[in-house]
Amino acid sequence: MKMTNDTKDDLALEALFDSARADDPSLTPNFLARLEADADAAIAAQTIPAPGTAANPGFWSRFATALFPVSGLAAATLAGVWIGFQVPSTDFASALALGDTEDFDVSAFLPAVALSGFSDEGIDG
Amino acid sequence: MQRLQTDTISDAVPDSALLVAVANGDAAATRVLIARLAPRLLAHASRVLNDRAEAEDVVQETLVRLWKIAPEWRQGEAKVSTWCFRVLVNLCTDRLRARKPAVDIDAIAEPAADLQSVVEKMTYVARRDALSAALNTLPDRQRQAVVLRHLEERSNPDIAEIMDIGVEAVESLVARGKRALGAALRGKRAELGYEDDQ
Repeated sequence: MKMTNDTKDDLALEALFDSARADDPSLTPNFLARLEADADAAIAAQTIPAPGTAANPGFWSRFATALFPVSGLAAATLAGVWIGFQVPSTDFASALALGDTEDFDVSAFLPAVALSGFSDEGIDG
Repeated sequence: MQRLQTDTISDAVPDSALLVAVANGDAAATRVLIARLAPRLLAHASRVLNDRAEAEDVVQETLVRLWKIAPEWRQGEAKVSTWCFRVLVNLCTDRLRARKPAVDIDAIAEPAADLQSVVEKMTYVARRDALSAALNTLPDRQRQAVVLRHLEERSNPDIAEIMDIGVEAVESLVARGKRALGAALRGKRAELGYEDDQ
């Protein structure tokens, strides 16, 4: 049976396609090195800290730093000093203040009931 | 983080899983993806562009884009290889358009003149060159469709996704491309060792 031109074309093309499929170009070492260098560069770029990390602070972190431009420990120390100066005065605090010590003697710090048993009258008779 | 070892990554590990590893900074995963994808991408680009240096450039660009998209890759939306071929096909199209205007299908009814000089003897190289020369006479999209279908052996739905067209359009492009190739090579069957006394 005589084949048509289309059939012959198809057979010839299939044979050419088979040959071409067996002849894939290979990756040269140079080209492979370029591809790997690109990949390594991309990996390195991905390891740059994301927003919000310590090396690259985010908005809220920068906002807090602007409001309180000292470290946590320093802030706590300053806060303690500030509170110390702002607490309202007490008698005890006044007693410790310079110039007021003459208004107190030691009996001011002892219980009144216990002292009565050791009064001068009780001992003498 | 635990790193994947290139030589221990099974063929069963899907490309998409490797791409997740890439997004997590795993260089070994990039090596495996390069080994899987680059040869096929290079084969397609070489046949379509018929220029090794240009083919390497577009493959390189395709893979650079893949590494960049890795952190945002959405699992299950597309196959990694299909995505890569889609990028590659577009890059090839850009290169072809920059070279010359598309060839009209009517212009290839007869074998191209330079095909005569390309096919000089009935050898393996002559067949390869003849096919390459004939492919070069096809309009860009026909050429890409024929190469994807008959040399990369991709399915029509896959090609449709790669080329962003319908399956029927793929079938039409491939059929017209094959007819044109057949016509371009018809006078050369004897020289190529495919002649016809059946």
